[in-house]
Amino acid sequence: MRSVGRAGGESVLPEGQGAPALRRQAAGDPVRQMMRAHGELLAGAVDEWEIAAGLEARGVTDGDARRLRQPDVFGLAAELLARAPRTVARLDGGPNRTERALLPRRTGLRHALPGAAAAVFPALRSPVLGAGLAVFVAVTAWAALRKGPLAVPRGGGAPWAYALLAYALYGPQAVTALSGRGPFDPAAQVPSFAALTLGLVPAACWAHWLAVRSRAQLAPSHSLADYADAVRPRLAVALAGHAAALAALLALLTPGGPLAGPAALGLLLFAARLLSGHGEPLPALAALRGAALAETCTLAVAPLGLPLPGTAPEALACGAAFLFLLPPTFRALSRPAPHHP
Amino acid sequence: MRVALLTEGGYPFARGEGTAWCDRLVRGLDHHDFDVYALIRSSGTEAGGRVDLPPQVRRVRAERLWGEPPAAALTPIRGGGRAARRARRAEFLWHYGEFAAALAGGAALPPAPRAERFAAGLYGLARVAAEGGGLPELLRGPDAVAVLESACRAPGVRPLVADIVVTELLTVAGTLERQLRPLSAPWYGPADLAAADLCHALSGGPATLPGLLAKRFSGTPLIVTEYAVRAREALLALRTAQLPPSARALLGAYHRLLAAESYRQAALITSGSTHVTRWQLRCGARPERIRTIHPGFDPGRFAGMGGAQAGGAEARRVGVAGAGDVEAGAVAPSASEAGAVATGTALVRAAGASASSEAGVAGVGAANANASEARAARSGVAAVGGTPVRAARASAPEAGATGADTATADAAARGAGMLADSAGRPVLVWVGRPDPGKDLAALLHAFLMVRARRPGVRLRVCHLRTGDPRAVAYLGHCRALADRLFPAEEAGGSVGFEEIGSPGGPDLAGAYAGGDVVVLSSGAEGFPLTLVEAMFCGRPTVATDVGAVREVVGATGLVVPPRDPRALADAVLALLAAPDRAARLGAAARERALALFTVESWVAAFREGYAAVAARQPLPSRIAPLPPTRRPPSLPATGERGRTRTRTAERARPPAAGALTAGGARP
Repeated sequence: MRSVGRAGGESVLPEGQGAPALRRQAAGDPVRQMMRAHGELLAGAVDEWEIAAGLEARGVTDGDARRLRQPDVFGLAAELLARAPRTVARLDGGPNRTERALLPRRTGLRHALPGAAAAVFPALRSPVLGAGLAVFVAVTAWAALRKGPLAVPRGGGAPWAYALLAYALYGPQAVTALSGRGPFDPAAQVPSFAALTLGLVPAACWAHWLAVRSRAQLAPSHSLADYADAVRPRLAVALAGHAAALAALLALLTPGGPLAGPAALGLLLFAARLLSGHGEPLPALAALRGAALAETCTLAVAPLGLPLPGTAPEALACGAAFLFLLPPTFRALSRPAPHHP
Repeated sequence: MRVALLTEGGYPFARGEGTAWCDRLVRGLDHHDFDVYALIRSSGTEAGGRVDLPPQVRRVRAERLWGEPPAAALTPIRGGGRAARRARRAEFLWHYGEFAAALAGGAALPPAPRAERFAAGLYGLARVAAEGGGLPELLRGPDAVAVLESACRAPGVRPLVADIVVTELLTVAGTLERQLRPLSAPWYGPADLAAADLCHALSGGPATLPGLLAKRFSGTPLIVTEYAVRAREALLALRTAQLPPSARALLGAYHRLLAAESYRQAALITSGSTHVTRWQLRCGARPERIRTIHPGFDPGRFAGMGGAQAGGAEARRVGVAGAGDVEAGAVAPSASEAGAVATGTALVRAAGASASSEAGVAGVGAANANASEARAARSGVAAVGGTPVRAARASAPEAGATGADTATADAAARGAGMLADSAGRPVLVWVGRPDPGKDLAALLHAFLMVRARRPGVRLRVCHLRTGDPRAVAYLGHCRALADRLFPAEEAGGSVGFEEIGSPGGPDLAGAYAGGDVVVLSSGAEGFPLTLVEAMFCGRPTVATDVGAVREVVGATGLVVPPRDPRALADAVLALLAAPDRAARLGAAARERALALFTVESWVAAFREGYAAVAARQPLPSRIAPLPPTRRPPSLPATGERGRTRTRTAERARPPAAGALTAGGARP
């Protein structure tokens, strides 16, 4: 088996030694002459088929091959392949495109819009305005998720995600009211919901950063295992970064309020979105469905008066679902595919 | 008979490759029903719209080999839970593994098992698509990339492929997904391909995929027709696209193995020229299934030009009516010229036309020559496939013409007046699409040598209209070269560039009519259409020995080595110096073209092939058109071997070499 010099177009022959020797011999040897005439073709060729096609495209005929004592162009191509110094050069993939890891400003604004609207929600006193704003938040959130780094090719379990968000908004209050430990206050969870909605911005930022960093790892990776090794820590950074951002937003907008429940929900939605975006919607769907069903169960058992604080079920359900999603997420995102590397 | 036509990047799209000849073929075979299954290679093909389809085309179904896969192919067929999904994925991984191993090849995989594994993988993937659906999603998923990698890293695979990196794996996996889309096409139902009596792939490669599956799943016989070697084109395209070596090795292997599999399964392989045949044999086609069927052209628009040359004509008027009519070249020789003979040759395609009416039609063309007598002579009947192609020549010798009643004397008399254009100078013509492969530079350099020895000769470069920026740039380059080589020319110049069909420019027939010798200087060529057209026009030709040139011109034109301006110049000078020989060659060329390259004989050959394949009978030993029944005058009646020798002799020392002023040693 012939070994092939692949690095940076280096010739097998040492520079300055091989070339003049080749030139001296070429004067007498017609095959050498032909090798020189088609040096560029031979240097990059991968097999005799490619050389034969290339020679014919340059007008070399069977007649020319017979003059060189070969039966035809195919024979000549095989002979040239055997005799040519192999300099198969790896192309560097053209100019190295560097992508900005920062989210484009316009995309960032699109993702900030629903969160900003939700943040002014508590200031509104009129129910009509409140309803309008709710619709506005829903529409802008849908628009933000349709395109951009958090987009998914096909339905990513939207109904279950809506159920989880509805529980984040009213669930804890409903549990409190159903278990008879207090009145139902529909506005109580709005600040934490606003923080969650604002969390779209860090989610988009981290998803974009992860996609750009992962793509940048494609070229330097030799094998798929190399690529996976390079992507896994970056995914961990993205998840941890999003968790920190969510915690900061919650601490800012709901000082002293519950942290674990909304943060776990935000992380679960983030991971599910990443996974669906990488063509694995089924585990994401299963996790979202499981969390939503678990939360519904807490509503069902609330009248029994179990000693649970309002946000604990959410933290438990979403946290467990997130943990369930972690292995498939790491597996899926560390394997490149042609249409979503 | 219900025929499924399988195309890729061509028919029925107006902008496709080879649409014109596919259209001629379909129109010619009007007693069959056709379903067209088209694969679209790029968005541009679709944007150009479809050609008008004749009524025998019952329906057209198209599938894209670019962009996103169709949504219907992406969604898996329902009716299976997790276990079914897993089973489908495992099946896919197994078959794709076979397929990828065949592509990677290697020392441990000799050619026969390699082809077997390729076929097993291919049909296995087709079964996955048919039974479970969602094949495109699997083909472009991470699993496919992982399988591809492990196939490339298998022991025994050559280092070039084994060193593949992640970006290259993704390129290959993505390309294979697009290439294998025909497997997911909804074409294999009982109302579709399974209902066809035979599948006819109008090119090799991807177009044969539906045919292979139809053969596999419903036993429909397959015919593969190639006028260009698809696998060879694919290799060149991969190189042009500057793909990395490992990707080129894998995708090149795919195209070769696919070609081999299609040749193995085809009941009949038709090839347009020996060049194509050579590649087919090399790719593993069995010679007993290959038949050469030269493409057929409509000589209608060149009819009447065969002998339309007149001695010392002051003005040449060539009237060309719409294709399909009987046309006649009108010739107006000067009254003072003694011995001038005007001839009009009409190709009469109506089977029932009588000899006298033929003569009458031709006589219209020669009316100005005071035709006292019109004599119709059947100069050659080539009975091919049951449709006689009749070339009738009516000659109307003027008073004073002596002995101009044999074909040879006709030709000689025409030849005596050959060297004429509007200014009385001989004209060389080049016709074609501007392309670097045409090597116009060699033509211009050769013309420089011709001018050095024979001043006064003109060169007309008649190019077809093009929108391709590369072609436009090449044309500009050639114009600049012409300006440099022939700087101090009088107005009009000795080299003229004209665009065919432009306002003020010639039409195609006019371009040939305006030249005494047609020159083809290509450095590389497939099937030289220019030569066939020149032959229909009865022009003597000088061409380079590339592609199918030799088998097209046969012994009726001069063939010189490519990229050798001196040889080209010598051959042109030889023809210019021996006008009667040039005229003889022109007449012989026209007869040859009418015998070999007409639509009638071409369509008849396919009709016969269809019948044999559909009836599953052994192929007739020869379905290609017969050679001309009568040898052209003054050419030795020999076999193929003898003809080759004749041409070689002509090339080595042109008979008219003695007339040349300076020999000059050839490089």
